[in-house]
Amino acid sequence: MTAHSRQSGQGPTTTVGPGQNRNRTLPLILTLLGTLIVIGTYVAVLLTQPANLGVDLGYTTLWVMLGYLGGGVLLAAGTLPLIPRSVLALIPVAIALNVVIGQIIGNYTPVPLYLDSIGTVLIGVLAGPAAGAFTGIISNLIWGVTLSPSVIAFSSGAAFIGAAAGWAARLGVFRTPWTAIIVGAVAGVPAGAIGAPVAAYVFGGGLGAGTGGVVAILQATGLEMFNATFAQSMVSDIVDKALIFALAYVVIQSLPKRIVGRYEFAAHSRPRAKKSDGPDLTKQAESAQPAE
Amino acid sequence: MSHASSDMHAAVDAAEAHRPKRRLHPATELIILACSLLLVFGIPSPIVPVIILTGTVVTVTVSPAVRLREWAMTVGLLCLPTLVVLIVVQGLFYPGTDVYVLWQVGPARLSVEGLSIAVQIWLRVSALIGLCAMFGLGADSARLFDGLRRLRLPSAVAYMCASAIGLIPMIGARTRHIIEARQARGWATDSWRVRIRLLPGIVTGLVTAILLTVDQRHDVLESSGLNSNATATALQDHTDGTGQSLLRILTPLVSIGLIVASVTGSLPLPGAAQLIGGA
Amino acid sequence: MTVSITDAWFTYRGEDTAALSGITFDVVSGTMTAVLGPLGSGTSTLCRLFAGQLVSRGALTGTIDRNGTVALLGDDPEAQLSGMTSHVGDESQLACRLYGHDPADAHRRARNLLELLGIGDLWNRRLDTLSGGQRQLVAVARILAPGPDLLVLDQPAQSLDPQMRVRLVTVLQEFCDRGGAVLITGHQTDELTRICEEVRFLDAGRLQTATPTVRSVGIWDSRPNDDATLSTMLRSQADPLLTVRDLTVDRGSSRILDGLDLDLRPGELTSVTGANGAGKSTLLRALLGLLDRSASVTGTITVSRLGEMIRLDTLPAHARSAHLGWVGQDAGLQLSAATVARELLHAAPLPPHRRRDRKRVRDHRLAAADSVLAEADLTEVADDHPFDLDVARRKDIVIASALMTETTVLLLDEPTIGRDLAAMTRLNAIIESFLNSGGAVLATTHDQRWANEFAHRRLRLIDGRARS
Repeated sequence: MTAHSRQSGQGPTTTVGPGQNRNRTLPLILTLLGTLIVIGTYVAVLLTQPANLGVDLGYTTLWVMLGYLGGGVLLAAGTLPLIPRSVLALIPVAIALNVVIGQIIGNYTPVPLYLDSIGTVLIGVLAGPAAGAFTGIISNLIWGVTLSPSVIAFSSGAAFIGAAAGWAARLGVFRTPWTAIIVGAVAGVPAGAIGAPVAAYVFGGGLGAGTGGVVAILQATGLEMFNATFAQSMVSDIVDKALIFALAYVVIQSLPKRIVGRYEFAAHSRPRAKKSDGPDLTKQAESAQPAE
Repeated sequence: MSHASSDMHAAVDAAEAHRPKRRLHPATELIILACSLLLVFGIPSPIVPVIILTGTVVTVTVSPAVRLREWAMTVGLLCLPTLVVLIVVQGLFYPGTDVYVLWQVGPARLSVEGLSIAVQIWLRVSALIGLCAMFGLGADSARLFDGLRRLRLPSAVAYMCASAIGLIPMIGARTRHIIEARQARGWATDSWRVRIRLLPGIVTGLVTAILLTVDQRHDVLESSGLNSNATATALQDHTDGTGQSLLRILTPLVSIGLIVASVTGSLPLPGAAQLIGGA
Repeated sequence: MTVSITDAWFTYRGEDTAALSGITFDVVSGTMTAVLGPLGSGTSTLCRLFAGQLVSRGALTGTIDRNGTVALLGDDPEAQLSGMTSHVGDESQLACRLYGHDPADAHRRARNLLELLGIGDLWNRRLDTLSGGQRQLVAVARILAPGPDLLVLDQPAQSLDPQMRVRLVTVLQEFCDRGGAVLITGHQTDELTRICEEVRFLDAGRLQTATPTVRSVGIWDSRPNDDATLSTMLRSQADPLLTVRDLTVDRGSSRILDGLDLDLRPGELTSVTGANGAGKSTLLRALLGLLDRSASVTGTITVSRLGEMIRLDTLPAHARSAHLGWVGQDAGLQLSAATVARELLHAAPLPPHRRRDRKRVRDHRLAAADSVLAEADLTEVADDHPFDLDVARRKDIVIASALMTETTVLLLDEPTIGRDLAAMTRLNAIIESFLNSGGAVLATTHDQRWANEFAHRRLRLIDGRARS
């Protein structure tokens, strides 16, 4: 029996939790389907659409929205059963962090960054790619439904970042700050690429003060709308994700053992325990637990 | 003591009795929101967001549940900056070649096409923001939970969404307190440089404290019966007659029908070019 | 209804020593039992054992016969709310509704309980506007509403002021009269443990068989003993370090502090008691300059430093830190580093200096941190994460970080919460060494016994004024 199954020993009635001898094929199929739909939409848009918006906005927005949202929902449905129960309690925190920081940066400061995926990345590092992807989608959906509907369309990009954080964490990227920053910048490239068609065709280039300004400047130099948006999306996302991954590194290294100890996946991101220190530290940490 | 308390009960109950009757069930509100999203982005005519926006304004003025001033302020705060950005990006810097220019200074040129695109996008976004602000699903966690459960989402997902809503004000409050605590140790937190320097520490402290709290909350919920087998009643009392159930089924069907009609070209709504051309 | 536990052993996952050893315990309906023990003895683990929450956290052996429902209330007010609701009314009905009770029935039960607990008028309030004590009472209403058989409370009196405790005592007694059972755990004796029929003691995971005295088990006894004389500590006649004259705080139309006068003399501990909402925290925040713009503050606050009188009320909050060291009620808000030593090093900004002096300033800071670590008895935990330690230790760390700013006046908000005997002794030692070096301490507290025994001056905050 794996450690996971012990945690879910009390078994919920909903279809969540590994280690219950559940079939993993359906969730994986859904996840794959969702990913394919998103990628398919992206390729179709790239191949068929003109580089500028016409006055009659046309049906591009419909296809982009349907493709990205539909793919996002399938991804969420697929990844939900793959998430361990103990992580479910963390996800609301991640969503709230995303919304608060994203709203402040996006609406009230003229910085051309988003900074709305710190929570997603943290979950990805603590609990793996499936949880990270799920958090990204749900986070954008909640933010959209309650505050700012324009972010709903970007949920697939957020899913990608969550998954990327999980994969990066498994590779031990979050053990040193430099690897975290570099991998973050690298992950920003596909993230920016995924988000560009949405920003371009649904919103004409960007709604934030900073990001819109950059697109305007690029258009003034003669770039067509889609290319300007693409360029801005790339640059913003590279810097943004590098910063987010760096911040996630700082936070993960500073979490107490009580939290990190509960999530086995997080062991990929903490410095390898030295043999001599190991038992004493955990004993001291755990002995503090009963008194709490 | 018992007289006073029972009087008070009666008064508060009377006030409360009005409350649920005026508002739709949150599940209905969610469906309306989803359908508006599809309609607004699916049908290219600018008439659609205008209809939705006027409908929203009318409902807000008429309904006693939502106050016009609050709604207008929320919407204004979110929509006006967007309008400015759109006018700058599209109106002034529209990169198309075949444009009718109204006014030009340097590289910036105010074109009719650009302006019309800006206004259309803005109308779409504002229509949705107006709806969101009217429904106010972000104000009450229990309400959102009930809506999501009614739509048959698993209770884990409904819990996550409701809980996230409640944590947003808590994060804001805690951040303020943390910054105050820093001030009390001598950091001049009014300057942005100092804030940025303290940022990693603040975020770490914030995340740690909240994660610890939330960790225990999960135990609390399990023992409160979140996953119990008994069929749970809704957390709040909502009005939900057959009318609303019908509305919840009809609205998506009608929306999909409209969109299909629009795609196949049988929807006679004027496009933006026609509206401008006529003007 | 009974819950009987026979020879239970529990070890947390990843740990070598057992948290609970050989627990044999019966709880019978209609009784109130208390289990007290020092910090780290396993009181919270015992609570979780009764509530059945330990299965997923480690290795549990022994037989537990539970024929009835158990409801658990933890000690952290923030963590007891479910997070699923935004209003008091919804939160208190939550458990009933999730279990499928009839809505009108759930509403009625919740209403009644809130009335009994004295917070019936909070029904429509949002949860984030409540104080810690009010949140705990809402959580009590929530867990009592479905009518559990056993109620387990972990340090229930911690966040409650004296009036709230009395209310809770009444509610608990009524609950027992109707056949329920109550189990209370904690590290201190207080009004709630006093009404328990049986008090057992827990030490390092084992229940004590003999009946020792409270102090010998390491528990802080907060029962005021009227026959003991109030402390006759020598009061200093020196000039006051902090002088407050005519401090008035208005928030909207209500006046919270009304012309308050206060003198803090070097070498003296001054305690401030009063009901929740009387303005104790407001007083401290007004002194620090941390009240928000909606509150208007008038009056003079003067600090005497090296013979010079400095007006504080004209200074911004961050400039007052050199004279006033604040330790707030929630220690978690004032901690941000990954180890205790780093917390002390980075708590306060380095004094203004030139680049070439930086090394010297840093070394000075390191030396200061080492000496403060020794003073606050934190040297052996210097490399631990503050959140891995217990609540009392965290408070000590925040006190130590206040000492790093080299202030002469310490403002402590509820420093006595959650402390057992050893932690209380540590607190008193820190305060005493600070007083001996010529500082003054102002502490707000609910613990009358501690104030009687250790404070040089005792003030009560009534109607916005401080009276002796």
